[in-house]
Amino acid sequence: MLPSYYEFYNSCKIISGKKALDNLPYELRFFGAKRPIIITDKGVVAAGLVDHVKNAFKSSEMTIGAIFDDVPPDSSLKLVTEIAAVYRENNCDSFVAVGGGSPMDTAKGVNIVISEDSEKLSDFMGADMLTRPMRPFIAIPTTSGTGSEVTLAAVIADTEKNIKMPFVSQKLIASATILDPRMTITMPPHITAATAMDALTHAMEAYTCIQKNPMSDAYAHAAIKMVKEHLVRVVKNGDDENGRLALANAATMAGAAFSNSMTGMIHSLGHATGGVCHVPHGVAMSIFLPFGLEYNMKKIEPYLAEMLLPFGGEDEYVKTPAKYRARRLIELVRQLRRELRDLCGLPMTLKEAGVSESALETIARLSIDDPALTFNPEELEYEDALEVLKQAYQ
Amino acid sequence: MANPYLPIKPGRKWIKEVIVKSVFLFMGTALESAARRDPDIKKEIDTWDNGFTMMMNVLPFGPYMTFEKTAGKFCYRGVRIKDRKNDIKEREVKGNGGESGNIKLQDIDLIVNFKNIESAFLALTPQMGTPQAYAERRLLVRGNLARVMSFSRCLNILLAHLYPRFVYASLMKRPPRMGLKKQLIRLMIMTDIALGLPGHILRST
Repeated sequence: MLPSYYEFYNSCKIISGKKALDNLPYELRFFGAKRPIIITDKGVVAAGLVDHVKNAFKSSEMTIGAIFDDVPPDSSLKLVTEIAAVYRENNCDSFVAVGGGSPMDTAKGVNIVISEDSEKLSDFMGADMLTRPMRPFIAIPTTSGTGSEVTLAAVIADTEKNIKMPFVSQKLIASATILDPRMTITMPPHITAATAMDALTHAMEAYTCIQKNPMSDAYAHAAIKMVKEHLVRVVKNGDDENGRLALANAATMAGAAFSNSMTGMIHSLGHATGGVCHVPHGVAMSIFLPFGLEYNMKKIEPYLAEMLLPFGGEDEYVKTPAKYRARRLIELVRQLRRELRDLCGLPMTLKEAGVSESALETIARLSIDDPALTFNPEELEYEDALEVLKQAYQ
Repeated sequence: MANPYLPIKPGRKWIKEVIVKSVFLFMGTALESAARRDPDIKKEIDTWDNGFTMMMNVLPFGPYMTFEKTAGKFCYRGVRIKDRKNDIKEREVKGNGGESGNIKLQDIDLIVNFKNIESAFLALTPQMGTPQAYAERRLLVRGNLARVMSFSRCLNILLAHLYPRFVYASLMKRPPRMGLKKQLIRLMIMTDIALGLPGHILRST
């Protein structure tokens, strides 16, 4: 159904395929850059992935301005200031982020203070606060989940004030993203599963939340199909390069979808659970996905039924009577979670993920203040959130 | 030959501006009262820090209103802009006789911006609910997004006090229940508006 009004924006060039990484210097040159700073984390370095990036610069006449490889799992204001100083001191002119959501968000944060020529990142907190053109920013994801490379948001923590600062602007979308199977091939099975479930949740929430539109639907539809076709195969055989590339593409497509149609209660609950109990985001998404779809069922049944086609395949879609398709989709999501638990130990309940039952009330309180809830089709009040959490607990 | 292609200065949508300004005044007075009278709104506002300031604004220099939580109370502050042509970040907003005096725009903790007067008109008249306005990106928020969720819940309850059910029910995902107690609160809010509005109008002119 065509909404009465919608907006869609995705300016990111996607470069996908084997040896795609070797195009990095060409792409930087295209954006007028010669001296990028590489922002990454220790895990990415230890997996040898930064070596691939360094190798791509050989014979390119470019200078790597600096490699900052100490990004923690949650980006912070202090870190952004520190990297901005390195950027200025080494006369860098662009950004290359290598990693998952945290290096990407960090690069976006540093890009804000550099491009806006400001020392105070917090001045730009909120939506559409950026006024100047950003420096070139190439994103190289090493997980297939966050979709940060094509999203218009970044979250940076102010550890002194103990708040998470959201930054939302279409200027934050990467100039280009490079999806190279070499960059995700070393991901262990449980992280592959968790991050892909994050991508699946992005796609499914994008397809069902109130800001959905025909463009985001197209991306979400393709992402759901690709995750379903390749996830289990890649978890079973991590060396499957085609499968890895498909999951990376799925994550990027899901990112483009949810960046435009936003997410809902599954993300609200996931953010709160991550904040209180440090459950990895992908794990939380996998746990909450069927519960969120079920909770919203009354409002989104036709959309759930439609998603059975990409998720269950043509045969499943045709043989399931129309009125049972929504329920069947949720059953198949649960079936996938069971399969992933058996294959790589991906938790199916909050209890399995190490969440204490006493934390549920705090999580419920935090989740109703999460802005993602605005876009959820159904209202979620504190008591509702607590009920869903109890269901997901065991 | 004279250039036939002269610059055009677009006019203003005065009627819609006046209506939006009036709704701000009415809503501001109502919210100040509801924050004292309705326990659900009070519960929300109790979680906000003292000194918290917020603003609803129509971009770029349209009507707007400010609020402040001071001494545990949520107060409608109205607005008086000294120099509308200055950069929006630099302009100073003067309180209308509130206890805390002046509020500088850059110090306001939360700003809800309508992209244009048409968007504000749609949301405030009220033809469109807050979630739909967000979904259609007619609203932009500057500041702490968690606080805006709490403010949205307050607005939902306020709408239920101000409008008949057939109006507010279509604007919300789940309309609040308005039992007998709520109806009494609604009556008190309406009385407060009747008594408080003339004062606010005088101060704003």
